[in-house]
Amino acid sequence: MKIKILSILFIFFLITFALSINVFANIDFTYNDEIITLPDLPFDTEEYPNYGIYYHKTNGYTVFYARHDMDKAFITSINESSGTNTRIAYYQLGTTTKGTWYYYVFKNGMWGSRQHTDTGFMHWSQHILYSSFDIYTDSTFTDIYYGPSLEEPDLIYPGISNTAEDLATGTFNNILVLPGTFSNTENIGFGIYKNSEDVSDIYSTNPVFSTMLVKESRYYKSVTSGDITEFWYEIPRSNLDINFKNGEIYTFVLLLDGSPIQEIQVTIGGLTEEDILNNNFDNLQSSVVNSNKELQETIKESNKELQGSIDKQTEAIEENNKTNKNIFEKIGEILSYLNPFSENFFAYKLVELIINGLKSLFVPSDDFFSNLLDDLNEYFGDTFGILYYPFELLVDFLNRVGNIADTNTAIISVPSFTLSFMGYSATFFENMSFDLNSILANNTFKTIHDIYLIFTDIILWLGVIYLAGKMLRSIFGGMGDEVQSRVEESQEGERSYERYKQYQENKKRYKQENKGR
Amino acid sequence: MIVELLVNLITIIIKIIATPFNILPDTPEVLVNAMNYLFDTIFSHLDFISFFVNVSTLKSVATIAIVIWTLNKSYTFLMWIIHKLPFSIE
Repeated sequence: MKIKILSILFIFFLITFALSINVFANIDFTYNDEIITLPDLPFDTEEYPNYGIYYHKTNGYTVFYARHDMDKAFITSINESSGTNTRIAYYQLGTTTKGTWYYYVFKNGMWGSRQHTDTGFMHWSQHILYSSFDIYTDSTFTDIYYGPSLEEPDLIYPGISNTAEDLATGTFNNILVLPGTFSNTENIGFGIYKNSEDVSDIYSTNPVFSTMLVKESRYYKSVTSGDITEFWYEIPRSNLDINFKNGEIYTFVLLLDGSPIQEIQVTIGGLTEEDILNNNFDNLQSSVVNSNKELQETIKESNKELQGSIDKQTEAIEENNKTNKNIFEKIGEILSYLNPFSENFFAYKLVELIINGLKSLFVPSDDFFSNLLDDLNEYFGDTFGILYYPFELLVDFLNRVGNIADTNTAIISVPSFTLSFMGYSATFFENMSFDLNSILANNTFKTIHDIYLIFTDIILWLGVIYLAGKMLRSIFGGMGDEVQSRVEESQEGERSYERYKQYQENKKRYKQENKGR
Repeated sequence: MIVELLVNLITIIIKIIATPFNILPDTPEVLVNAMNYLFDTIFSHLDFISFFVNVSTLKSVATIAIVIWTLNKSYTFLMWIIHKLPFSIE
């Protein structure tokens, strides 16, 4: 059981460690009995730390998605793509308002990239393989949100910075388009339409001027300061190739993904009421967009508050359960004090308390005696001086014996012996040494030596046992039994001798008495 | 706590009694140095003892022997004190 738990923990650790190093490349997925190892993410995870990986089965194929948000802080769903049947794994990266990037991998593991049109819709909460950030859901559990927060970042659309009055002069130098928060790869278009009384919808006619505003455009202007690059688009009037005449009506249009996002209608020579009305309508349209946006934000805020309320209720329920549990635990604990078969039975606790009290009263702390002996040794050494030196010597000797190391070297060293007398010196022998271990090079001697050491051990331990037995006999009795029996024998002997002596005397007296007869 | 208190009390008494012996001379430095030199010489060349006996066994046995000897003497000393008490123990 222990090994299983350790194995699970080890595998969990390995997975966590692998994910922390390179998430995508370390995910294996078995498909048609074939283990597919997903390739590295095609983006820098340090630059885009918020991303998730999940899968979905569609048309009999398993589709993998890796997604990070470059602009949005949350995503409510992901789009499932209908692709060709040759696709094994499909990776989708970053659906934003500025476009969609898709990456897919074929069975041989090669990466590719292409634009793709979204079709379908799916929820992926059941198929999350990994997410580098928190995951939320709304109160109905129908939408999944993931991201560091539910706040959508401010989005500033591109716009023509020229005023309607400036454009109405027809003599402006440039048309200036600022990109807002959009990148220089977005599909932004600019067009000028000439209004006609015959045509109600200007978009049904061809523009008198149109261009795409991208990085490659000749109208692209930029300035770089450090790591920050600011860009804009500047269209000179000379490039428009339009001869503006007074009274003519033109509409300057900015488009995003083919849809107009800004329209400015002007009458050359001076704005008319109609121009102002139309432009006001544009502003009104912007107001509606803004209102929708505010409404969405309000809904999101409400959802957030609702979620917060649900969380609070859940916390309160959990707290209540916890409190109830604590109460029952306390009751159980109190009952266990009355149960004689429980280890918490109050009598046991009482005995334990008394024992601990007695122990603290009579048993000194661990290092009390060692400190005391050191203190006394030092004090006696200072006080008694030379009288105490033999004891110090004994203590020193015992300490040195205790510090003898059990080494494998066995070298006998004999220092040189030199005598000096009246300026003459005589050396009897130089330093000598002999390694006893050299004897053990012979296997026979080695075996004998091992047996010898075993015997010395046995003798030493027997000696200690004999000493202990002798001490026990002297304390608990039995030590003088032999002596006592000898004394009794001796006393018996003495009594026998007394009887024998009495017998001899009686015999002698008997003889003397019978001699005269 | 009680034992520590008693031992500390006895220690203080012993120290008070031993205080007058402060006048005794210290051990001559020459003697101390000579004995240290002797011990150093002996114990620095005692490696070979492990050839004749297991030093670990010797240490264990010596420790137990000292403990036994101390217990025996302590018991004798204790009984001597008890016998000096003015009541008899049957």
